[in-house]
Amino acid sequence: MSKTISCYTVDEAGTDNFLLRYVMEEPEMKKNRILLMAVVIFFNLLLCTAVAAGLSLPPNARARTIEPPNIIFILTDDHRWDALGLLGHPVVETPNLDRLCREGVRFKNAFVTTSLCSPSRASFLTGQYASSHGVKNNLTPWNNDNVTFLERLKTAGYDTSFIGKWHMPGELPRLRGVDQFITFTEQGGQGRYFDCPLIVDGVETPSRKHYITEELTDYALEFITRERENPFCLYLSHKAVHHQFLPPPHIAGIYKDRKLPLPPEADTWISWNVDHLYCGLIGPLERTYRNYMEALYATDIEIGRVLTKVDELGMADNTIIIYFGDNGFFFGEHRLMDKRWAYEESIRVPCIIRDPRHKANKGKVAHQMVLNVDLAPTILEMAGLDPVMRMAGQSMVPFLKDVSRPGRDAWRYEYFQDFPYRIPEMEALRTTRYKYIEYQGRKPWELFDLRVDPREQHNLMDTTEGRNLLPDLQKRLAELRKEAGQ
Amino acid sequence: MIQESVFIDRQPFTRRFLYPAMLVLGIWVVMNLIYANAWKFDLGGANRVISWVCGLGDVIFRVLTPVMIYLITCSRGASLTERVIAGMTPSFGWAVYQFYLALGVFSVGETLYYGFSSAFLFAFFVLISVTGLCELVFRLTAKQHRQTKKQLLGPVMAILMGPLSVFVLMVWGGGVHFFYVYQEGYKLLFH
Repeated sequence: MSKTISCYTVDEAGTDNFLLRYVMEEPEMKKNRILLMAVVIFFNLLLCTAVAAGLSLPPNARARTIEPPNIIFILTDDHRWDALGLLGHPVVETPNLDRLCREGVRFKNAFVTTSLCSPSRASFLTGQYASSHGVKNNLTPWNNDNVTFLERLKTAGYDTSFIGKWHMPGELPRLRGVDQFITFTEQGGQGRYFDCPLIVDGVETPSRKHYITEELTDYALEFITRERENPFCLYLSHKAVHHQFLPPPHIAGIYKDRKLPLPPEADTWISWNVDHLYCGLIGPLERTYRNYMEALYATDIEIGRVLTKVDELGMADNTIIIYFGDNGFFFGEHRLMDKRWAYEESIRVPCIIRDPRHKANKGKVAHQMVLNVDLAPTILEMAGLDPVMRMAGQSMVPFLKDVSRPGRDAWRYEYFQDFPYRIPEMEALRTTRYKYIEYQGRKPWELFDLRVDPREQHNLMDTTEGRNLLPDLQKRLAELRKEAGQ
Repeated sequence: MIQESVFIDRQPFTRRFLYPAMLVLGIWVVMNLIYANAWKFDLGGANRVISWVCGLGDVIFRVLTPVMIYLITCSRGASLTERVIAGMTPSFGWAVYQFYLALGVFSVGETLYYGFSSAFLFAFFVLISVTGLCELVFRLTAKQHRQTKKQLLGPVMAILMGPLSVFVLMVWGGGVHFFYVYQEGYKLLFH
């Protein structure tokens, strides 16, 4: 006759574990059973310890038990949304960005919350609006108290590098959480296309390459190639394709015979306007446009070098690549050059994300409205981190998983005075269908139905339709303003 | 006075100054109106041609107005002051319009400072330079001057303003250096 006694314990997770079983049997059998029991006890204790240890870790660290991806963020300057070969642009060829589109998800409705280099770049880094991070224009300095996503990634064990254009007013920042900081201060932080000296971790360093886009790419490849145990995040921020829109010598002139798709309101001398002179846009529009396209093509080639290197190193399956433009650009639309205004050409940017973990959606186009302030929360989620710092943006990761998922219904645009540019301060509401713009000063407010008037040529403000739409749009703008704490 | 010694036949103020000044101002205004609005009309491909001509014409006309003014007014006995002011009339109209637009965005103080930006300084000094050239030619060619001591230093100095402004405002650092000096001045005054 045998006598069995069972004993149960409850671990910290509240899970019942069968631990012990005494078996009253014959002596030899009993000896073997005791040995087996000791082994079972040992492994159970090991399991309990592991579970308990896991629970005591913060949520971020638990997520990190999954292999964290490398992240490469490539930011270009003034790259307007439609200047992509894939979209059938009649001039520019962008084979590498096209490849990225085919292998990732292209967000066709990507925007910036302030269409100006410095504020937009600060928004990418912080996930905040200009009115929150404080870099309101090209005159207001960066606040070192701002927290960037790079800082958060560093605390999570990432190797981090910022390479390229910083271009925010004031002294170069003390960027917390950045292992390597390579930038330039020439021409007020705009840099030069040719022979631009760099500041490598605080040390002025002569240029190694003639053309700046190649130079920055070289540094980026060195960082990617470096042997490491940690995942990495590279922030590669190009000067191109900002003015003076200079391509390298071997590319200069390749588009000189291409017919340009100028809007009907544009003309050759549009850049002679006083405001455009300050943007360095002296000269015929056609020449500026061709230079821009050639500089963009040169940039695409350098992006191709990054993609190739990622492939060569065999890290493509664990490396996310994100491409964004910092703002758009006018080529005569609305008889304007440069950016700043709230019209589509200015606020709309290319945005492509290739995340190897979501291969099912590769080549798809996402229609949701996404913003520059969404970058930081997106990257944090990709790295398995929570956006604990205050961010206005929302993660784009859900759209990578499901491109048909509903996105935001509206968002707020803001622009602050930037002397001597004669563009009024403005605030705008962009919904999926309408755009409503409030200006400071004399300029009449504007309202456009983007569905029937995508080029924003017919202001509805003084029409019956406009008057009917206005209350709801103003209410929504006020809500968004309130959400932002304005 | 130099200008007094060269007058052959001094005509009334309206003929020697007002009409020529109004003429160049009127041409400039019409050219600008056409340039700003040509694209709105359905003229086939002619829109772009008209815009091209008027857009370039606007700039060239403002720069070369002194030439036109000197050709008209010198023979009518205009004084140096009258010649210079008349030659600047379209540019003055242009500047007034630009300041009007600026006042819609900036404060009065900022708008005044705006007048010292590179675009305005460049336009002003180039105009002074062209005026100086016209005056130099006039003094060298006017019959009365051949019998008197030629005073050429003033016109020569005025001519040099043009290349100097091109260097400081456009060539020095590709125009960026002056721009950032100007912006620093703005920050000191208004921030």
